[in-house]
Amino acid sequence: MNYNLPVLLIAIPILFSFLSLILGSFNKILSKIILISVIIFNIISGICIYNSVLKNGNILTVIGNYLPPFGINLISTYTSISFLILLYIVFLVASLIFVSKNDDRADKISSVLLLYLASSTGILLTGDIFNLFVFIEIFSISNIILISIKDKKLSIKGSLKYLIITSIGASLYLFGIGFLYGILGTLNLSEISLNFDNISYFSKVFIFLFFLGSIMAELEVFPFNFWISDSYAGSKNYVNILLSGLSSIVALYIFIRLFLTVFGYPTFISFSYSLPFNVKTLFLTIFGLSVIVNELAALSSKNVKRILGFSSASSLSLILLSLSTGLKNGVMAAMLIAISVIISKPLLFLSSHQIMKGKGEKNLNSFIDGFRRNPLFSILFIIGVFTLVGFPLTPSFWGKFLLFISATEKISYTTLILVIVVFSITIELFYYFRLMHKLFIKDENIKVEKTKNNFVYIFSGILLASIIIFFSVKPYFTQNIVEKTTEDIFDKSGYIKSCLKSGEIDDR
Amino acid sequence: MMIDNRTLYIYSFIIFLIGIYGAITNRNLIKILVSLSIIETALNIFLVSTGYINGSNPPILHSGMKLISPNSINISDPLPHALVLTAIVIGVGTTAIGIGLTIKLYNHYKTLNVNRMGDKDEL
Repeated sequence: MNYNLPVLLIAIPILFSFLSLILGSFNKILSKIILISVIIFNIISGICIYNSVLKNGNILTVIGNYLPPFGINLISTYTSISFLILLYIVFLVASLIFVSKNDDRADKISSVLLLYLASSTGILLTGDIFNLFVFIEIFSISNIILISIKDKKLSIKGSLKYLIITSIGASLYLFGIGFLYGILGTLNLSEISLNFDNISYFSKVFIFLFFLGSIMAELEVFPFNFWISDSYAGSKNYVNILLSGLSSIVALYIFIRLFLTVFGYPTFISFSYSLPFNVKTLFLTIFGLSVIVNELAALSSKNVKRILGFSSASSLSLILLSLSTGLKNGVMAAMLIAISVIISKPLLFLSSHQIMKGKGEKNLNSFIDGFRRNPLFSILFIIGVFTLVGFPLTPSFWGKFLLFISATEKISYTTLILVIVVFSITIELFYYFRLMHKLFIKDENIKVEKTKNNFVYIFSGILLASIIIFFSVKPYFTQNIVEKTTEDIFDKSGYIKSCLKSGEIDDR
Repeated sequence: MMIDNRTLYIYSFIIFLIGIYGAITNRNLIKILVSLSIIETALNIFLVSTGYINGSNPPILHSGMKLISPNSINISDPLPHALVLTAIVIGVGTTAIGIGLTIKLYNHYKTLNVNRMGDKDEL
């Protein structure tokens, strides 16, 4: 395998993002072809890198022959590359939906989508903390543009709110980087993780708080979740898919690298933090509160997109809650819930869009008689709901089960975790079953006309549903992936060694 | 007058707090964007000051400089300057998008006050 392939995963989308603007000015279809070709290239390359990582372990790609800790480097670990493939599948679905629509600004939107792809890939692969900041900023700017595409009051307001929140978050993150660089004199993630213990307690606390603030702003965590209501409700269908699916993967990976690789000290079964206060309790309180607030916001919403938006924010908080237990079972639970959320949330957005097609208002009542109008997407919606709430045998079920087990391992957090998980499941069941109930209410006064489904929607929906079913009926396959990912997350020394391997560089 | 790094850190942190205060308390969208720019300025000052060494020379090689070892040359660290350049470019991009969105919102609502931008009729 070519060890420079990870660079192409970022460089090709950036190159074609500019080419798509130029070629798209001649013919809009060209930009759509470029978008789909680039994503297919990335999927194939991603699978090649995945196989190589399976055989040879972590892959380090040095840029410009500057050996780490100097210069920029990319590290492909098992976690990053499996997240990347999942991300590409969701991105493919969103791109197919975008391509199926006629839009006058197709060239510009596909250019932004390619930047989105490049930045999210960069976030998952980079081994440099400042490079991570640059990619996060490109990611946020692409998100802002994509949210505002609809050009309605709600979408512009949503994107402006998102811009303000992410700007503050990015500033806090940069403050943290400044502190780290001022003390350690390096920007390399591995070098920082290696020497982090030498920093004084006072500085550690400052850096931790800056990073925590920035991550909370980026991760839809309460009290920084107020942009969700406008952003999800006001944006287009494929943007919702990207926001709910891709943003979760990216946010989750940033959290893992910053708080588990840099701040965490992994032992065989758990993570610990050498900070003067109890980090785990702090995380559990923040994310627990966020789960509860987002669930209540989803319950009180009438707009279906808002319900799904708050629900995905709540699921993300639940994943972070599982991660912050710091236990092996908790991390495995987080991975299992993440798999369900990343695939089922796009499916829910997709199917709800098709069920409400032709209805002026996108509120709860537009679901009435949905099953007779659109039986296929009603079934897909039900599959999505069952996966998300944790129907037995789905990955989410095993995830929540493992979270219960991990809660019993640490007696001081047990009650808190159990209360939060039970609360979230109950509320989620209530508002999703309310939606499902509306699907089967028959409106006798109106003659039902069957909705015509676009082929792309049918293909995307069935693809996502089959992935969920595959993960559910092949528990050993899922377990294998989740265990490997968890081991990789716990293998901090392996991550550092793969980057700072004593000056040798292969002649690639 | 010599200013040491700590003083610069404190100055930048005070400017940062002023920016945060402005972003939270202002109701005018333009003023919120100005506050965000103030935060970015604070950040840039902070980043540059991390590379500053008291009484050091600029990191430019000139004929009178003796290159014995990197530690013996009293120069400030040039890397944070490069970081700040990147941060400035990103900041300008974000501000430009923010102003663009603000203009669009103004065209919709004919006001810049966020409190007067109700959306109950849109749901």
